[in-house]
Amino acid sequence: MLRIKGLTKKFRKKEVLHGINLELGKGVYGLLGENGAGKSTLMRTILGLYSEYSGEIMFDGDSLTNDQIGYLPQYFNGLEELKVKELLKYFADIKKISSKRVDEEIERTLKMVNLIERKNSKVKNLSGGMKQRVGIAQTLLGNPEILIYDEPTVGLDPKERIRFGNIIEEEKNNKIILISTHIVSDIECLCDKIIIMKEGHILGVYTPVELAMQAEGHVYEMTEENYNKIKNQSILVRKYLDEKEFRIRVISENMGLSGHVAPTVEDGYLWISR
Amino acid sequence: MDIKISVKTLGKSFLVPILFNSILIPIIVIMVAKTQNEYNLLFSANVMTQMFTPFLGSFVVFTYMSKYIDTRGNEIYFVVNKNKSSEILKLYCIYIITNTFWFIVYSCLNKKFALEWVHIIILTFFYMVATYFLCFWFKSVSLASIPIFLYTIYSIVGLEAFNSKLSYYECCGVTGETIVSKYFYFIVAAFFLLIVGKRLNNSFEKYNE
Repeated sequence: MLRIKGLTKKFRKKEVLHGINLELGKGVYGLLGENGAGKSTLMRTILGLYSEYSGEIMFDGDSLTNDQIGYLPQYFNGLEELKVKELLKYFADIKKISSKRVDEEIERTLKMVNLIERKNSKVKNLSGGMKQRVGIAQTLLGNPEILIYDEPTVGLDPKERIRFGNIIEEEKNNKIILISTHIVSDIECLCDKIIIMKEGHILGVYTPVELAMQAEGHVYEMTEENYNKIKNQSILVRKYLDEKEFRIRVISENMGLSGHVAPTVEDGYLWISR
Repeated sequence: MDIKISVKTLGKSFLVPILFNSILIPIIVIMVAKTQNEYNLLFSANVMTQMFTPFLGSFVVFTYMSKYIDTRGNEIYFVVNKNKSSEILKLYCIYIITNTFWFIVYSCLNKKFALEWVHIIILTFFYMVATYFLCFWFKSVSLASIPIFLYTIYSIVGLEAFNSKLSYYECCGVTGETIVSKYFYFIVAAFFLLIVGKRLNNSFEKYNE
């Protein structure tokens, strides 16, 4: 269990995390919030990348050690001159994986990300999706208990995003996995719980169904003409073409509207964080 | 850390010090040696190695540190092991070892050069550690290179005009007495910069997105 109690972080005098409290057991958690919500700051504080903060971060009752974590930042610039196998050996060395186990670990993680055939290719010769897979492979080295991914699917094509989802599915039963994103659809199907952040606060922790239900009764679809009458009292979710006319999906407190529809996870997120 | 991988992480930039220290400088020194003028050989080896060897040691550190300081996504390199000082010290040892062969050759051509090798080892340690410190002080490899470059120019060019105690350049070769009296302070300064550099390293929080 990863326990975070009263976590507060300041940059100079500006407080960016305000007394964060979280308890995370095994499973997949999505960390959802707009840009500047504090997602990256929270993750970096957990990782020990920020040394000055107040509050507690404990894993199974002890301080968290870095060999218990696998991390993939949003931009993974692997050392491009190295071969895939060499890059993983580099990370295995700094994770202090014993030399007897290194080759076995590299083979295991490359098989998991389906890159075993490219182990002797230089990183610079790989596609963006393959580089991301190498990044995922290095998080799995040493079989850490906590995996943290910062915007892991940005820039990936649909096939790579599905592949990432499959890897998470395989690992979720015996690890704590935290995935930060501002793309709701990415975590909708992957996550057991979704943590909503805004301006350094945790607004709530919900299952996907619970999050969608937060917007129950507040989601409508209407014509563009009707939307223009209420646009100042509503949040625009999406505009789409339905046969020959545009339809607008909105979230609004105005219960008198017609065109009520069932909420989605995205609707729930927008409602909670409005 | 696998030495081969450590060197490979430097990419093609590692060829620059090799080009100078292992090819260009030896060619010049050996060409001078062919004149069979021992003084010219010693002078040539002194000038070339003092000018380039410590400074290129800094170049190696700059290249190595750029991924930690300036690269997008640099946080990945700080997660498991934040402190980079041991890696810098390993790089220093690798750099000295790769240059030892030619210094043995120069010492065989002129025995007085053996003391110069001690001078270079101390200077290179000072330069590489100072570079490590400056990279974390300025949080920028580019900015850190400016004082290193200016100090090198000052030492070589400004010897007559400025206080030569601060300059590392010895135009007439170094003596045992100078090593003890002057370069001892360079060693002390280097260890001080290493300690402060480690503290700056541990509190480093500039992660590039």
